Amino acid sequence: MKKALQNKSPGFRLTLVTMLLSIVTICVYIAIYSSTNYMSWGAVGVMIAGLVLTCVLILTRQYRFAPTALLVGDYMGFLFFAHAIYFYISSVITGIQFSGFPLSFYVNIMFFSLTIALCIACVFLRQTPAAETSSKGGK
Amino acid sequence: MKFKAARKTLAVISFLLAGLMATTTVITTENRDSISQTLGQSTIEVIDEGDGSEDTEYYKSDYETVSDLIDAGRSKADQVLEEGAVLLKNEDHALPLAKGDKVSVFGVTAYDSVFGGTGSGTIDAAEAVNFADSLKKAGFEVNPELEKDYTSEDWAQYKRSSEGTFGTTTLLINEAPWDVVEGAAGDSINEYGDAAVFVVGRVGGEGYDLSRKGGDGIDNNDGLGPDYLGLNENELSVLEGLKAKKKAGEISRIIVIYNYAGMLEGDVLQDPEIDAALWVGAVGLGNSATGRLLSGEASPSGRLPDTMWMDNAMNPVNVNFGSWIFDGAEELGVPTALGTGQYPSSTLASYVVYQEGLYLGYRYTETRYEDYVMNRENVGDFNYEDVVAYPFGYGLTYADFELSDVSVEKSGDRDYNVSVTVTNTSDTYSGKYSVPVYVSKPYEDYAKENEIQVPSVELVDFAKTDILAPGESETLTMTLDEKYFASYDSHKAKGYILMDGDYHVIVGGSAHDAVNSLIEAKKAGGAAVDASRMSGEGDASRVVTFHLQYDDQKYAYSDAVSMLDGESKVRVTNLFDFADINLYEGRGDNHVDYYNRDHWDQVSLDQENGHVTLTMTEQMAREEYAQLPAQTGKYGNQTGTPKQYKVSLEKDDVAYPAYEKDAGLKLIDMRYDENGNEISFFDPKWDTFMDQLSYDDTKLLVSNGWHMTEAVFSVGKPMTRDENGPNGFGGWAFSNGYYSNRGLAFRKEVANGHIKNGGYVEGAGPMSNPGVTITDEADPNGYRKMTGFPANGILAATFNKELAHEVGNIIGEDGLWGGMSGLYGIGLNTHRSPYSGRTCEYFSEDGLLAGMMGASESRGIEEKGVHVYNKHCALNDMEKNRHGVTTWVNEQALREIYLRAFELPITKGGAFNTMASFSRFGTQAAAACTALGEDYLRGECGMKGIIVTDAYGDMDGSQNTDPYFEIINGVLSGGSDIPDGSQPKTEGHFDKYEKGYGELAWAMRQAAKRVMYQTAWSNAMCGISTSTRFVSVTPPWQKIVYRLDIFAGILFAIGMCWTLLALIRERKAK
Repeated sequence: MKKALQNKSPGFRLTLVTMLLSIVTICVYIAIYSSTNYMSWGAVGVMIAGLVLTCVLILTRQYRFAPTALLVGDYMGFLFFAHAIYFYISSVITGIQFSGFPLSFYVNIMFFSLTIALCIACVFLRQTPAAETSSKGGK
Repeated sequence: MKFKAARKTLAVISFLLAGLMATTTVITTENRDSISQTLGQSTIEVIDEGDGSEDTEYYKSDYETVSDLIDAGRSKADQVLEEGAVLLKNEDHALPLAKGDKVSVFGVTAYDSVFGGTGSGTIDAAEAVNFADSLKKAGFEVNPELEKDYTSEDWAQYKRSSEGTFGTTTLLINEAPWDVVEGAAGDSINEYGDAAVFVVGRVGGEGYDLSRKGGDGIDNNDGLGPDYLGLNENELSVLEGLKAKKKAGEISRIIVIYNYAGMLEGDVLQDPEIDAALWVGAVGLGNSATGRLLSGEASPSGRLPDTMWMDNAMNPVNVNFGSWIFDGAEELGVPTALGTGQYPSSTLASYVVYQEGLYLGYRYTETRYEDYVMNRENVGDFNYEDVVAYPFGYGLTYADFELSDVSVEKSGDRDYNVSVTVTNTSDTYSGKYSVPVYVSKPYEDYAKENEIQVPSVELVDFAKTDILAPGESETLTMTLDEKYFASYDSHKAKGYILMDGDYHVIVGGSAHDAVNSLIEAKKAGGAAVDASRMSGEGDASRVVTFHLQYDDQKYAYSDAVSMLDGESKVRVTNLFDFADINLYEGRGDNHVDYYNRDHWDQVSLDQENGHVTLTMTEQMAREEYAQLPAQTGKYGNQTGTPKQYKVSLEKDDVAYPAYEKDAGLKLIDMRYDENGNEISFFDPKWDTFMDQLSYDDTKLLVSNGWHMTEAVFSVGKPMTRDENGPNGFGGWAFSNGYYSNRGLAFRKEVANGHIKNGGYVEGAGPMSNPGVTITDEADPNGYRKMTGFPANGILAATFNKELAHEVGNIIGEDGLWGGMSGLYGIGLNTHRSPYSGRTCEYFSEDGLLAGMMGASESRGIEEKGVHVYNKHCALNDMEKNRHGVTTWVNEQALREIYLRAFELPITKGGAFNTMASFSRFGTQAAAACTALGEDYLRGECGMKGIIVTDAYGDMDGSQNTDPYFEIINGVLSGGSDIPDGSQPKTEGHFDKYEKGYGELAWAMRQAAKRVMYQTAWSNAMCGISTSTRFVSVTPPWQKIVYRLDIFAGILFAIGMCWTLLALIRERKAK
């Protein structure tokens, strides 16, 4: 593992971390919402699809597209989540639901936000070492 | 590199933006109508293609201007409090005070008064008057030092408060203790010592019951814990301080005012040092009356609508007030965990038993008292004066009144003409006087053998005089309906019966006076009476006795014509065996001993452990789950429907109704035929009309009902606006007062040219619609809020049906002028326990008093084209545990108390609509109960309109509580027609039934037809003529969303193209 990462750029390493975080986010989301009517399995589906595509891109050495695939999956997952839960959010905000947002709601939002923020950062970070890029003629 | 960064930035931002806009568009489209309504923007434009000559004001107002209406409303609220306030005590004529007296007013409530309830009972109190100001208005000089202190920021800590969340609220009384008050007020108390007026306040409302545990009330060691309905230490210290001042001669008299919608404990008022006491309820906008009552400008004439107990621990109902978890529920797979949302109660495994049966409130106290005096067996120890502080129907006046010439004569088949002369025998005071009439039925072998409960006395009618000057008399006449002499026999006859024996009609006074008169009459007839056990005196001359024979046929059929077929009268028979645990077929080994006159000694007052314990049976579990949302099985905090209980709607081969057969009919055409006759609900023309709707139209109508009914513009059906509340229109829907909707106030100003661009705006608050402007010439009174009346208990206490009708008229006018065609009210549940949080919305512990007053008020409201949704039918007699609670009650009590309050407003007051309660009748959710919705309300009572659920989000699991009902079952069962909730959550429920479920489709058609019918006969049709045309328009907010969509799409396309070009260029470069 250490050897495999030896020549990789910091950006790529961050992408791997983000992938890991993405998996954690999926788990957290499922743990919090799977037993409620605010669960969107579509969100889980697109996030997993994004992760799979990212892996495929990495395995096919298309490193620089990997963060984009991850971002698309995670962001769309977030939007699916938002669509599934907006009724609840609106009912809290308007006071129909008096209990307010529980801690788990904020935890979930935090994981999604962090994952997406890191995805965006990865998109802007170089995914291949300068030498490798140079040897392949990339810019 | 510079361009690469820019390209990436553009691509990422445009992608995020496009995703955001796509989601926004989906969500806003799903909620288009709700958003439009909230923003006050139109989705439809209504154009009148006629010459404008048609009079489209179908319901006429009695007022020229909104200002006239407001003045009349405020004045009526004053009158309600004036006639409803109950003078509990007045030693040595302590009241009235003399005008100009210098008085010290104590208690935070005197300056921060309780005007209404919280939640749906909220009223706008901006123009309300607190007690200190009320006294000043009445000409008293009020201690300014005390006013300064009580209203200072430093004393904010002494105001009433609460802690905890909505469903777990603990109410705190607080109050400024005497040492603080005395220290701050100093000698001013002596200076303003003509009287000390101490106002004690309590507040209650929707969603929570009153504290018996926690809080800061006094724990009087009754097992109930600190008691919110008793006084707390600070309040008692004030009383003690005042008594010391009185003893020292610094103040002349102590007057206590109870400012709470229900009954506080009355033991404190027995203190001889308290000179006078007044119960004023929650005062609404009528509190100017309090000052006038204290000054003698007006004389109290109210009577208590509830029993005021010395100590609520003596009220056995409280033993079974709350909810408990069925034994064995877990074993049957029914979750018992509490909800995690605002309502921390179990919705599936909780139950309550109305073990008292008919012996609720005065029916218990007076019956046990009579039995005690008559020395019946097993009566136990019962010292009336230790139990009851002030009985039902009690109320003093300043004047003295005498009743004479009492006569009761039978007239015709079932009427009894009551006549009584009321004379004001005082030489000083004028005033009104009400005369309740009670009946005492025979408690003989038939009743005992068939478990018929027979209270000592029961209210059957009442009337009130006009203001009588000293020496003046008035003869009141009433026509009693013998139907109220009948008892419901759910065991043998299974219907209303007259039992063989003596019926005593007792005229005048409180329920206790009536029993004492009854005892005197029985004594005169030779019955043995233990006079040493009597409390008070009776008057046998007020009792008239009739002997009736057993008859189970006379009231075997309903009086009303059934709205199920429009022509028949329904056989009245057992409908609710399933709600009586002793008759329910799935009861297992459960059994309840209801209170029984032969076994008073078995009545438990053990507030901790005396409740009925029940075990859940498999049938109960199966029936409860059958009403759950079938689609998902996973809601809230629970794991969903266990496999063994899963059921789904079975397909059938019933042909669907016809759809989309255009006949050119509009809703306005469905009011009158060509001869000017009203078109009946059963006229075939309605079928032709309904055939025009599509399945989607029907689905829309029965899926949405959040304070409205949906519009169907293809047939000219406007959206209706239906709003809280039970004490007059209030709440968030009136941010712009009478201009908030397109009511008469708005339409008049449009016609006057004072509102520009104010064309018909459908289902929206026109004020906030872009382009609508109100000029300075428009009546500024239009921005003021509707009249909030004193809580319904005070209205009940007036014992004045005409006044209730007038109040109804004002509420109806408020709806007419404010653009509301439906009122979520009036509140007709029963004051079963004083600890119910929502007492402010309901009338009484007596179903007939609530029903008769409710009938008059409903009639007044309906006359103005505003349909009542009388709520919450039924058994919603507590708040904290109201959701899905399995309520067990015998049918006699159900019919003679709890449902009578809903029956009379329909049969006597023409109440159109009903709101179903959150509760269950046995295992059946009220909103999915065929027996209630179809057989009783529409069948027996002849209710014409619709049944709306209570807040739907609390029932389908949206609130993180276990779901226990869905609208599919409501519509299919006839238990409800629409949810008090809106799309998309509910609309989706009907999607999968478009084919193969003909029975449901017909049920949907019937519910939709009722929605149409009630709209046609409401003020929502005002402004719509036969030449009105509806045109769909895109609301401005949605245009903005679409423009942002286009912008985001273009940006995203540019980002993608740029990226693609860069990749192509890069590949070429390789």
